[in-house]
Amino acid sequence: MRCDETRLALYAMEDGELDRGGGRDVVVHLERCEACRRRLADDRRVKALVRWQASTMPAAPQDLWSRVAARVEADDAVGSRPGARSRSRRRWSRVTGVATAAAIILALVSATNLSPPADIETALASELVADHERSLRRAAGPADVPGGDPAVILARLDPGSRDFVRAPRMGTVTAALLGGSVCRLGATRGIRWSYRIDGAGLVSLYQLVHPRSASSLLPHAGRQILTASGGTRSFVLWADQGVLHALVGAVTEAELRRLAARIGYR
Amino acid sequence: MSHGEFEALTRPHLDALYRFAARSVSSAATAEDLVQEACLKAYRAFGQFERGTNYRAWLFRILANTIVDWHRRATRNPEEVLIAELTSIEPSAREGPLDPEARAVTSALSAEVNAALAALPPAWQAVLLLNFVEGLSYKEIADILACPVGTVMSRLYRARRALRRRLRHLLDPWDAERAGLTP
Repeated sequence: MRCDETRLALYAMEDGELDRGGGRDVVVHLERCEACRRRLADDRRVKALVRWQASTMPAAPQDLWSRVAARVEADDAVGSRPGARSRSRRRWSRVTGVATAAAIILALVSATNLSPPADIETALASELVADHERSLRRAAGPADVPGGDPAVILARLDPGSRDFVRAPRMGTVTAALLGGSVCRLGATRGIRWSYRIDGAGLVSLYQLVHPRSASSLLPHAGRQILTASGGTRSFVLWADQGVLHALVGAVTEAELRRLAARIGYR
Repeated sequence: MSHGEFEALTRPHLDALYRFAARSVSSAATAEDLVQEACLKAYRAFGQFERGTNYRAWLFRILANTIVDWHRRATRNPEEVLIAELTSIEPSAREGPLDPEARAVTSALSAEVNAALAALPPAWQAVLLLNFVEGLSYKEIADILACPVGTVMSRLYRARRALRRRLRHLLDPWDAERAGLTP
């Protein structure tokens, strides 16, 4: 398969439009072709940028729905919709499903039964959990930047990449480009990525540094310093190479440890 | 169908419909009118909505038709287009986690991406936004825009290529830092 034969299929795969067989051909090609891998990475960034940009566009005016409702009522009053009412009533059972899904998400977001063990880092841990909770409550959803593409973020989790090492010192724009944001917790400063795993698990990854001395903040650098779990909240916090890492999420501690292992936690 | 049911199903999509309309007509007032008109059409035509299909895609199809009709009318009355373009919508940084300084930076970045999108031919832009932002499938977009799936794919491909070229300097985030976009 040549590059020019692959491109439409490459994007179709990226958009979830390719069946498994077609996807396999693209994956085989990608393994051999650096140019197409680069093209795919660029495409993911373009998509993340466009989604992020869309989230910065003004929302509908507050009173727009009331104006729609007024027109609908006026329309009903003149009786210009014969027959539509009886046909459509039974089609609305999906509303119940939407409401149930919303309730589950709200329950996940409001569960705060985490009790971190008393430890020298407890204060920071509490801040991390509280920050994660705030991140999830933002209007646009769990991701800090709604357009943040989990695939792009996960690509950043390669501990061998230069972006990973430099992540805590990223500027605001770089963080936004990658779907994260800058955060300041206590004396630390760093990057927060909030994203979704398998549709339900909401996870924030923090990479933090102390502006003056990493060693003063991280007396236990190089090994796990704190893990905790309770109910639907878990977190794991560790230090490595002067960077404090934390994963906080509505997934099991085992799942968090598995994710953490991908980025250097042992 | 009661008004409450219509609201429960339709209102969650209002922002997305409005943003799509606002990009298509470059005027806040016209976008508001078009969304109102599309919602009213959806209410009237709800009996034709096929159960089990994507309601969001259905709403977008109605809105897209409404926009096309508006453009046809506006072309017959060029003054209307002119007025629309004089009151263009400026993207604004969303209220959120960013401090004021960061908001100003992201606002500049948003304007840059917006300009790249605006430079696309309208047909490419519509396909790209419906796929990238609204998450609609090729088939759903083909239904909305009344064109074959192959046309959707080729427009999307061209739009991607054009954006990648135009935004190249932003695609390596570290280049963006060096370009002075950081606070």
